[in-house]
Amino acid sequence: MSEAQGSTGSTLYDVIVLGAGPAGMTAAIYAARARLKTLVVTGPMVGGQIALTYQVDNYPGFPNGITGPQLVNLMREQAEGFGAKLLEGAATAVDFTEKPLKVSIGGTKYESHSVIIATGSMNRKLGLESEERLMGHGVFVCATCDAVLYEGKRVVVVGGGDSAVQEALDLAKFAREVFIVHRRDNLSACMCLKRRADQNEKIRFIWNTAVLDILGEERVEGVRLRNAATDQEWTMECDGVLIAIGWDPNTFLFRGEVELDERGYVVTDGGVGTSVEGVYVCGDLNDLRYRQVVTACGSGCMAALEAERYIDGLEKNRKSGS
Amino acid sequence: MSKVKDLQAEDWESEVLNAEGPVVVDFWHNMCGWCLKLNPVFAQLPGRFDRAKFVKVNVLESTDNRRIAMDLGVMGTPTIKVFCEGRPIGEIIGFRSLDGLVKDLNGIFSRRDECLGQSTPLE
Repeated sequence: MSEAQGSTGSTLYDVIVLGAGPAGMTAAIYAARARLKTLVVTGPMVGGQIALTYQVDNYPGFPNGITGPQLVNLMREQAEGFGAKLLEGAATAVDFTEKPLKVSIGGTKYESHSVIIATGSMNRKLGLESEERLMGHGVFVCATCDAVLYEGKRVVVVGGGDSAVQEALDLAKFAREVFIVHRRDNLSACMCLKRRADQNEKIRFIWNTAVLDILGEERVEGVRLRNAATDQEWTMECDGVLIAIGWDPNTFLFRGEVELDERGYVVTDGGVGTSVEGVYVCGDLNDLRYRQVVTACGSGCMAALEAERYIDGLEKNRKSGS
Repeated sequence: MSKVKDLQAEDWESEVLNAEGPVVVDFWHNMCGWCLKLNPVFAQLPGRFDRAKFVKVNVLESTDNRRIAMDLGVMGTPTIKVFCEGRPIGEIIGFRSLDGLVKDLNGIFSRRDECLGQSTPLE
């Protein structure tokens, strides 16, 4: 493990991991186990989206499933056990224009030979004024956190992917009725979730329909809907609206530092490499197709192994004087 | 410095509704990531407000605990409700840093003279 100092006299890390979801945590486990000096800047939530997931049934090694927070704690314990340092907070700036790479958290600057971007994605919003105003007053994004408070209530879930259906299933444990409102005429969720939703008596579907507005002054009282096929509009009473319409990349910090595509995702070399040597990307930012805990872990592993090779190369060059 | 008390529904009336001074209640549960992140922050609040009482209600622990939260209109966790003389006088929804919580609580207390008189921020 190197004990070098950076240009500002601060500790020079081998790897700084930005984000502490499954991808970032796995990268930290691999990097720290390889005896690389590893700092994880956790971002707003240790564990990322998985920390807000009630039950994970498909992560290998847990035949009875495991809760999201439990899985996060185990990953954290493993990363810290190998010597990774976790710093709770969010990076506020990065500078990848010269080596060593720099990451700032407020007024404190950290330097590193390599950076692994694992900042993931954030909930996409409908963009309605009422959505912002009623957030926490009936509008919500996390069934794991809030479903318990909708016992006996009528709730609308907006979306049709894995997240929307999983959230609907979690809600149905408490709610009286759950309506999945989807703008298409079928779900894009995986078959296993579709089947479970179809078989759940509390869950019903409203197809080809968009949410025009969320109604209520101080708390959610209903939604205004429009069927895209017929242009019919109507109001439906409900007590809550869960938004699960997808994710947007959390890459604002990296604009101008690494190449991003038009949607804001990091452009890769086909693997985990980015447009900047020594900077790697993993997790949701590198996987628009699968977005599973296990695929996030896989790309986190790949990013750490690439970082290790890159640092090995730097060390060999230094020794050979080139 | 008093500690945060873990409250059950059967003690709600005596500990919150019949309390003389301000009571700050954190509605939370242990499957809520933001609640777990808030826990250590909330635990520091008794050191900042010497005369307010701080309690937590786990809404997953019992139906009665959950019912209290729902009757008060709590629709997400974590939600902090502030009571004075048994009356709700304000709420804070979602995670805050310690400085953010202190600021928000001062704002809530300042809106009620009776609470302001009984809750003196130490800083």
